[in-house]
Formats: sequence, C-alpha cells, structure tokens
Amino acid sequence: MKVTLHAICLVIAVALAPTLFAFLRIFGVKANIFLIYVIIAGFYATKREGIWLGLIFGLVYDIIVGRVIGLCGILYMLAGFFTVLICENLIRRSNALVIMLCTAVGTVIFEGISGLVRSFFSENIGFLYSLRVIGIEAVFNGVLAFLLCIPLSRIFRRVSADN
Amino acid sequence: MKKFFKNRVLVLILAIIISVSVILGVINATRTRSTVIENIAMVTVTPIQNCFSWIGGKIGGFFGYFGDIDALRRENEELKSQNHKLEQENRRADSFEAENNELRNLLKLDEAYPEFDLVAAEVVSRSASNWYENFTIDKGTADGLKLNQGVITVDNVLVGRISDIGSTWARVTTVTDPEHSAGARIIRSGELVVLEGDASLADKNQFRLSFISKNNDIVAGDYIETSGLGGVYPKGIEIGKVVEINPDVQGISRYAIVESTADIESITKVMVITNKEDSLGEE
Repeated sequence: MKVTLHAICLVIAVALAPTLFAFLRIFGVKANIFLIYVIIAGFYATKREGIWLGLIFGLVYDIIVGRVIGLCGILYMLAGFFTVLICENLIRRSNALVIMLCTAVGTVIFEGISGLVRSFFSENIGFLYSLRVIGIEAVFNGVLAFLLCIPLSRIFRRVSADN
Repeated sequence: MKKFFKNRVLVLILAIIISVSVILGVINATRTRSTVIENIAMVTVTPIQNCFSWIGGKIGGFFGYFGDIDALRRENEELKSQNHKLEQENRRADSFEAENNELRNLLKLDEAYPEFDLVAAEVVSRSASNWYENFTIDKGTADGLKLNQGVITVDNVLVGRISDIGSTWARVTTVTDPEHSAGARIIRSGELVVLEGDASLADKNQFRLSFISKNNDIVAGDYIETSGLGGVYPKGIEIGKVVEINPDVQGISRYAIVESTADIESITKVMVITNKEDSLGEE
C-alpha cells in the first residue's frame, strides 16, 4: 500500500513539477516538490524506506532535469535517510512546523551541495547567485511543505495503520 | 310640433340661438388672434394645468414602471444571452486569428529560408530545476530530429539546441542556460563574439557575450546573430540586442549583456532546423 502511494505521488510529481510548478516562482526561484516529498515521507518511514524513497525520487528528478544522472539520486537518498534518523532520535513529536523547518534546512543542505557542485564546474553559476537561489528555495519549499504535510500526514498515518 | 311653433317665446329663443351660432362660427373662422379676455384667462389657468399635468404624469409613470420592468427584464436576458454568444464567437475569432498569424509566420519562414528544413514542435514541459534553463518538445528521432540541432522560434529567433533526445521527445537547452555557448557576430560590425548563458541573467531573458576585445566597437543597441561557426547553428539567425557592456573582472576584455529577442519563458511553439549548415571555413 505504501509503495503504491509513493508510486502515485511520484507520477504526480513528474507530471506537475515541469508544468504547473515550473510557473510557480518566487523571485524567479521554483520549488522542488521531489525534495519536499522525500522529507515529508521520511517522517513516516523507516531508514530503509527513506533511503529507497530518496534514491528513486532523486534519480527520477535527475532524468527529468536531464543533466548529471545520479547526483540528486545520491543527495535525496541521504536526505531521506537523515530525515528518518533525525525523526527517530531528535524529534519527539512531529507537526507541520517541524516538518516545515526540516524541509527548509534540508533544502539548504542538499540543494546547497547540488548548487555548489554545479557552480564549481560551471563559471556561469555564480556563488552569490547560488546562495540567493538556495535561500529563496528553502523558504519556498518550507512553506509548501507546511501546506502539503497536513493532507500527506493523514494519508501516511492511515496507510501505516492499515499496514 | 304645431303647438311648439304656436309658442312665440320658444320660437324667439330658437332663432336667437341659431343666429348667435352662425355669428360665432363666422367670427371664429375669420379670427386670427386671441382676445384679451382669452389671454387673461389662459395665463391664469395654464400654470395650474401644468401642475396637474405633472402630477398626472408622475402617477402614470409610477404605474407604467411595473409594466415596463417585466419587459426590461426579458430584454436584458435576451441581450445577455446574445452578448455571451458574441463573446464566445469573439474568443474563437481571436484564437483563429492567432493561429492564422502563426501559420503565416511559418510560411514566411519557409519562404525566407528555403534552404532550411524545418520541423515544427510544441513545448510540452519546462525545466523543474533552478539551475538549468531548458524545455521539452513533442518531437524526437521518429520525426527526423537529431542531437545538437538548432531550435528557433516561428519569427526566426534563436532559442537553443537539442541537448537530449528520445523517439518522441527532445530536450532543448536554451541560450540562457549556464552551460550553453555558441559563436555569434555583431550584425553592424561583423565582429565575432562568444555567446554564453548565465544563471543570474536567465530570469531576465538575458545572457552574456564574452571575450569582447577592447578594440571591438560594440555598443548598446547592437543586434547579434549566429556566426555559423561551431557547426551547430546556421549563420544569420537573429539572437538578440545588446543591453549593456561591462569590463571583465580581469580587466583584459569586456563582456556584454544581451537580451534575447524571443521571450523564451513564454514560448509554446518552436521550429527545429534539421539540416544545419556547417559554415566552418567559409569565412
């Protein structure tokens, strides 16, 4: 059931990210619904689930974006894993605000690494520009995570209860 | 009747009435002006009549109002329905006009550049990443497209090149992408420059012209086109207009910011040049 749910969400993300969400921008910056989903789902997953979820979502994201296949696969795999780890060890009770904060921090870390790697290999992505984009994206992702986590949390809890 | 005519008083009264009527008739027939008495009487009576006429009109209007509302409501509904139909027809007409203009442009493009083999394609999705500027079109190898073919708008403005391809889709890296570069030339002076995408300029539909020597007399307002060198883009495709010129960080050369003539973020239809010209060595 969980696998089916993740598959459906993956299909929705693939359909919406390059279409609807490509037009939703704040100061020219788009949200990353793949990363948002991996972090939200990580709050309701085991370590193994978090790793697989991150890996698959990251690889699909790489395929859609069409550049370095595997970079986001590895990064989102780590995002899924660390989200589960933090949830199990540090956070006693998850709520929308906690998820929002984790998403924003996760965006800074993982998009930051991704952006810095790209700016390192390309002269035409400036360091300051990268910081600006990462900062705005962190806020944007955090807000979207806040909005999405409420319905997603209910679905995840119900699926977990059924399992 | 005999008894009537025997009564002399009655006969006299009748005669007087007839006489006075005839006299009045003759006087009125020939009269052209009102008399003084008439005038005084009418001047006195007319305002009063006017007042009552106004009151009568208001009362009549009040009752007429209720009768008119129903007619007005029906007329309003009919007009709204007609308006709605006309608006729909108008929208359809606008859509046909836009399509007509696009097809005319395509025809002009075909006629202006008969040496190009062009394949029309539609943009189906855009980049989901903040770091890359590209979009996906609905044509691929099955339609004769190949990697690195140039992509232009229907107005013959450079958009980018095919960077990834499948059987029914292709990904186009636009000129504003940080990893895109191409040879270009200034139309006015003919001097060669290098066109490069820049992430910080992509939002503004702009990119850079790099390695501009200090001797180059490029000015803001110059138009840039493809040079044909490099083997990707044919020569002579419009790219954009120079917006500003700045010195490089090292101070050895300069760079210019160019704004694309095409609104790359809003493009929905593109043309792929399937028989690219390789002008290497021609100049």
